[in-house]
Amino acid sequence: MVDTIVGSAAGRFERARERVADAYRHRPVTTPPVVVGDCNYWITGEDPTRIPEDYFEASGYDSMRRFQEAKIASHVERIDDDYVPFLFPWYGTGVVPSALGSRIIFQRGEEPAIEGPILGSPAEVRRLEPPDPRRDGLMPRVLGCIDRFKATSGLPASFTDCQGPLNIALSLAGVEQLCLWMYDAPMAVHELMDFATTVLIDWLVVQKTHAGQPMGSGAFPHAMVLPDGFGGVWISDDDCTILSAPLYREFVVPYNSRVLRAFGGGTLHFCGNAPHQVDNFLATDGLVGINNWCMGEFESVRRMQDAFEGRVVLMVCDTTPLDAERYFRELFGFLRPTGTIVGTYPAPANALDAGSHRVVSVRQDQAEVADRAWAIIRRLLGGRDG
Amino acid sequence: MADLDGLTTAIEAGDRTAAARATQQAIDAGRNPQSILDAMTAAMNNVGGRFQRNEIFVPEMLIAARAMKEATALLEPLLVAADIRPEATAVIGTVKGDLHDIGKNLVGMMWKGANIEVIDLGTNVPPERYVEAARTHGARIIGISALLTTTMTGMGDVVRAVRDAGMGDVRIIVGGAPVTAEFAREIGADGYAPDAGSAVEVAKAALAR
Repeated sequence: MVDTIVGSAAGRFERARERVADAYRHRPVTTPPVVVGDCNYWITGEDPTRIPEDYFEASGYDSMRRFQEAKIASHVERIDDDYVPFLFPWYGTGVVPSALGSRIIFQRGEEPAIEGPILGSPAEVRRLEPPDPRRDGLMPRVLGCIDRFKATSGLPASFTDCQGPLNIALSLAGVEQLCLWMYDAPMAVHELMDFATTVLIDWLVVQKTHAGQPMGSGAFPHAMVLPDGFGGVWISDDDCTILSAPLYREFVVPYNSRVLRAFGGGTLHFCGNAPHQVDNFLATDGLVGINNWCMGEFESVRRMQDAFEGRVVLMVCDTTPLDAERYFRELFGFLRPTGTIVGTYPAPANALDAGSHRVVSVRQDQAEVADRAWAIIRRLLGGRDG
Repeated sequence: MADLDGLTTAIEAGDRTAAARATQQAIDAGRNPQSILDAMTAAMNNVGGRFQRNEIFVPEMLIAARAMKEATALLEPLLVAADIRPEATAVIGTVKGDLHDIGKNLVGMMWKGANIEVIDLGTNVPPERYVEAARTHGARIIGISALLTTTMTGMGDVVRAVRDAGMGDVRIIVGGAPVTAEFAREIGADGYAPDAGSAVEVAKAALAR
């Protein structure tokens, strides 16, 4: 059924792709592309009763596909935004660490989580070995999922969320240790970041090959299809918020640059606020977009908008706020439509309290919240380009 | 003359070697242990303020806390001999079902830096362990951290367990990414720390009530 629904909307998806491409080209427009991200593949904020019991199991590939397809079908029928459907193999953010020896904990109703660091000293970095994606950790499960998606659905399949070199290194060494090593053992940190970068690039190549994606395209960060010509990868760098600009410049920028260059460029995601990293983002070779869940902190968005104008696409995203009218009125009051994309992510059990800049627990109908947010956005934008 | 300003500066800068040297020099010079401790806590107070203002970040806080810890270890025998005790004892942990610890660890470091003794229960801590530890150690503060909206509700369970145990004078302080001041009020907590930088101020305010 989803194939029929999606097939009938092919024209609209092409227009969506063009709007997103125009954002990446910084072509002057009067309204930004908008994605209402209620087709979430992650389960944070999800109604626990809706999560299939075998969602993360190797036996659960079809459950994962059906879970996502049902949301996609509902979304496509209700909301004419710039979302372009795809399937996402999702096993948490610890897939790469899992293949390097980290233990992953599965708890009912939660994303898979890494138990703790596996490196006890800088010297141990040298004992790390590149993983075999057909055998190690959760990598085979991801590949199996991609293969199953390709065999059973007409929708394209993404590579999984691989995070980025920094998050991989933090997972392996632990936040406290890695931060201290940046001062005590900088060469070991460089070795670890270099290793994580190589593993990440190789892993992305394997996944994209399985998914039938060209290396230079086919990235789907948080429900946004990145256009051809603007790179084939997106990475996550949530921890850019906890490092100073000099440390990030030394220990992260060179490695993110390497990943992005390997795929003809790419987009970087982070949650939170990092105005102090703006110059570092601009210094990252191959960076064409920033996907930021800003937690309603718009001063940071203003600063990025000014710095990135004409150079880097800015995607302003958040869990759909409790007071969506106020949030979007304020956002559209200053956000320039050229070179920007807006994403709002309604969830049954989460909402953004923009006043406190925190995600809070709620109980709500996801479709209702999505529809209401879309109606507000359309009204405030006064129509859409294209 | 032992340079206590130099000690403060060394700790703030995270220079463990200079901090230890300045501490030993102050000890050798016969400086009052309380004044040496005050120089150390002043450093961590400055670190907390700079962290809140985004002038420094997590690594700088960590190296400062480490310098403080190592300097304090040199001073500890004199503190004991002079019967200079921690201002209070705090029990800290991440709520049941939650495995995240960096926020809790940073708060613990800041509290230690303010001469609050910290008993760290780790992560995934059920309510009864907070109660038992607070009773065992005579804690006046319980600090609870949560990083997930799905686990933060467990903070209310801790508050109830502590009050049901007749420990109404123990101050409960909560914090973590999804936690808000409103939530803290709703569950009956005594304080809310939005970040590690404010945790000392919040703890002292709670103790003063």
